[in-house]
Amino acid sequence: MNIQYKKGVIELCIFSLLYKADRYGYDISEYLSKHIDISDGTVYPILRKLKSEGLVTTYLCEESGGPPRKYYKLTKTGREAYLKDRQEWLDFVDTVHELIKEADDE
Amino acid sequence: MNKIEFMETLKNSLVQAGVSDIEEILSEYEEHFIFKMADGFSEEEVSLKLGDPKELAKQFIQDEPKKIVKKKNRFFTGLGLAFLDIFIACIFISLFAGVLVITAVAVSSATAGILLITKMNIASLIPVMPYKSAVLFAVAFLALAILMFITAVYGFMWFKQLIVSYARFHKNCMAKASNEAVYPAKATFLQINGKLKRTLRVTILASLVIFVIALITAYILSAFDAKSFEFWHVWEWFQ
Repeated sequence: MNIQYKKGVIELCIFSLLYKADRYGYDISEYLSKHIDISDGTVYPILRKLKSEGLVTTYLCEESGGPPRKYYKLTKTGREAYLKDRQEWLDFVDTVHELIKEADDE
Repeated sequence: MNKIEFMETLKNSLVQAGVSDIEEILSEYEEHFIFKMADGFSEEEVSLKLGDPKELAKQFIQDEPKKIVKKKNRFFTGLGLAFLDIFIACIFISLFAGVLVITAVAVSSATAGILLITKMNIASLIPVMPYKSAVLFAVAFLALAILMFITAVYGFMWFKQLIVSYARFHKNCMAKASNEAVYPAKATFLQINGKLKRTLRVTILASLVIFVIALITAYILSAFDAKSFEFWHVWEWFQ
């Protein structure tokens, strides 16, 4: 799949993960690479982009034993952006689905 | 490619691409290596799964006009904090002096109590009085010493907590200004567990009660002995 195309989708997936709970970078990377065929490193540039756009913030959490983990959290704008992107995606998929089905029927 | 090669290539590519906050990016990958290797993967496997570091570095390139704003932010936050530091330092010094005074009261009360009870009269500091009055006054002084000592310890602990809390706040302000991750804030109140807290509270209350009772009894007893409400005149304390 085209990398730029994939990046947009991964962004949406990260949003949906963070919408439910705060997570640290490695956790997100592991979760996504289990389900989607991407290289593990791809998640970090996207997280950074989201942060510089103000859609997520980070905070450190001191775990017992080991260095502090950097958690990502959706901001208010981030949550709004997710709900909007989510609806757009669902509508888009519906349309594509219908188009493909129509093509099959002909 | 092992970990060092991966990190080096990534770092060089990021520098070449002119990406800012490289350290923060690198630490994220560093963490990834640590977690993944803890799961039993070799350095080679981890870096293979991470992807080509040169390709990854390219993905970090974004339009970066924010850099100047960020520096400005840091400067003003730093300046503001410097002024705040001076102000806070004054408060901290006064607080510390207060705690020292309480400690001094505790030490001198304890000394007075011990001198009274052991009939030691160094430099004729202890005025004349019957021994039973002296014992009661001594009990009052010792109770006061305990009270003040616990207060001083509380004071010191709270003082320390305040400093830690302010230091964390200071650090987080700078981190926020440079858009870095922040630590959770530290509490400004004392963190004592329930049992110790109860013990301290009971001790404080008990020593307060003993202090008041001993002082009143000592006064009544002395007044009786001297047959005067102002027994200190009869015993010629201030002459």
